[in-house]
Amino acid sequence: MIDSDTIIKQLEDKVKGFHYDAKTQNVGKVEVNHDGVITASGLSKAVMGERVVVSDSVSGVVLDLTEDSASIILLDESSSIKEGDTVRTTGELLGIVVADDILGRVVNPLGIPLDGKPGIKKGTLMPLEKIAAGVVDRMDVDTPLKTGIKAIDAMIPIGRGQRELIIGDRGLGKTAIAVDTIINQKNVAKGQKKVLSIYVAIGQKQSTIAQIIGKLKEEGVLENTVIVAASSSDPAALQYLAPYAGTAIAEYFLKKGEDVLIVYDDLTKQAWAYRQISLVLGRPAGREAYPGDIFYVHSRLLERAVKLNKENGGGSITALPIIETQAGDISAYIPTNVISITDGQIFVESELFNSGVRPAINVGFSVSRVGSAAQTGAMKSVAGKMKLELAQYRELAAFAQFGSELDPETSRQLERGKRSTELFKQNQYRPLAEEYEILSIIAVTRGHLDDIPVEDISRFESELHEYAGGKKHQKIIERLASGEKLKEEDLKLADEIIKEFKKGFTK
Amino acid sequence: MNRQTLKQLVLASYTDSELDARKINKISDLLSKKELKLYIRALKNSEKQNTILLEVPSRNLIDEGSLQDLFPDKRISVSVDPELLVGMRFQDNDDIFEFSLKNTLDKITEHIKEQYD
Repeated sequence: MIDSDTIIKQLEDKVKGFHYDAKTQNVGKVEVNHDGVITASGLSKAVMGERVVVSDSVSGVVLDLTEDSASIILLDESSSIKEGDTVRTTGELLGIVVADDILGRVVNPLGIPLDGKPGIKKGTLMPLEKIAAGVVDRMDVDTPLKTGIKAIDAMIPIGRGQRELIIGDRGLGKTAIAVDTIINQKNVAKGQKKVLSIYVAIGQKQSTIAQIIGKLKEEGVLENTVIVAASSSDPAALQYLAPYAGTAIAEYFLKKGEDVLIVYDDLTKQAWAYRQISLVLGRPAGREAYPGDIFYVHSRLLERAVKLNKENGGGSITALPIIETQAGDISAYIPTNVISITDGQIFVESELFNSGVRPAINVGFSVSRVGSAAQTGAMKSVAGKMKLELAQYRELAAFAQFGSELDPETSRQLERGKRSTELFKQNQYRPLAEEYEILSIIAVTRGHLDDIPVEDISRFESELHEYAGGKKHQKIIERLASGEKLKEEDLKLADEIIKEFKKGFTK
Repeated sequence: MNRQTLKQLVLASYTDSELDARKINKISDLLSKKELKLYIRALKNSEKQNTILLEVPSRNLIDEGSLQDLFPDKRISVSVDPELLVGMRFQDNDDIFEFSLKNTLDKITEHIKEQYD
């Protein structure tokens, strides 16, 4: 039997930390409800971006303020909201509660769990909108972020803190590149920090999101990943806010000095959602009916990708935004905007995809403006000329179609090009560790594949990796994995392994 | 009709801080249907700004005279809400101030719930 003193003590403990404040609220009334966007009178003290509650049940965010009204986007089902309903301010900017245990979870942009597990209630409230870190807090991109995709790591390298756009038509493997990159983060290179991943799904089908979650789970990387999902059936407001929510989660880990990779899949759909909201709000429509501030919507988001200096924890946010083009048109409004904001782009092309080159990366149109500074010495020493050689091959191949007479040097370049192209083909969900990527590149650039039939290249490569992975060759593999610039003797050692393997390789 | 004109019409609708029915009728006769809608809304807002809505658990608990001293330029409209238990809730334009026992108890409940979670 508990005595009365204990009961009182327990009650006292429960109310410890409780501070009484008179409740003050700023209220208004719904005047118009336009498919998820309401106009409310009153709310004289509301501020831009403030969270409000309509009819004590539906949350919204203030997006426009005029002298006597406020426009609010609703974050929930809005059909029950009618004229005259009460709108109350909360005094909070829209944010998401983040704690360490958000890793491995699937949440919506408001932090509400979508995976059936309990919600994250105790944690830090991270604002969705935040001004990006200033120049004083930043440092140069100097650490590589490995995608595990040979073509990217060798020719379009990405650094931690970089913003690299993945652009191309639908169904060409943009998401595959991003998902492979997330999967590859389970391989932590020696002496480097692990990378946490955030995948933001915007306006996608629920089935596609479920498929990606399933794959990440299967590959064992979901525990280091957060999925922020605003599917095509969610209100436009949630689709618009999803990338900001993902970034807010990334900033929580950034504060702790972690390296974070964030994938926005895709920003085209976010732009569509914002266009829809803006048109309903009655904002003037500009090019392609997008509002005038669509550039700022993307630039303020991507500017939050950062590599902080040591004094600020040294963490980083690497952003991989995805943009979907129509018929390969990269000169449309949103693609050109995002190309100009980011530090480079990976362009996937339908012609390459249809001719069996997968990932269908067009090396000529793809570029990484800051990543080469982050590329390891080892990769730099073998992949330096690859991009140029491949571009030359494409040119030559186009010309070679017109004539049969070719000089020996051109023929050699064409044959080498065919093998390089074949080597850069890579199966989905099979990211490679850097040492094996380097070994493959050595094999092709130093002519070891010149006498191997093109159709055997893929088998040659996988068997070579298996052969080199044995204990006997551990030293050279470790050397390649060290990231240090390779000396001539290292390359010779690699040559020897490849030659030795070739003796036993049956064509 | 711009905002400035609307404000002037609203100001012109008052005589000694009270709405003047004669003036309002005269103004409304001159307005189109669309303008009339805006005028009614503006009048409502103006009335809202000039009125304090006071809710108390019982009329016996307040002294209306001293309250009028606190808000000399505003009209006070009192209503009864026994759920407040003790204290009062009042609305000045679009601000609500709640000093009631019900609010305190609600906050304690909320706090305990958070502790449990």
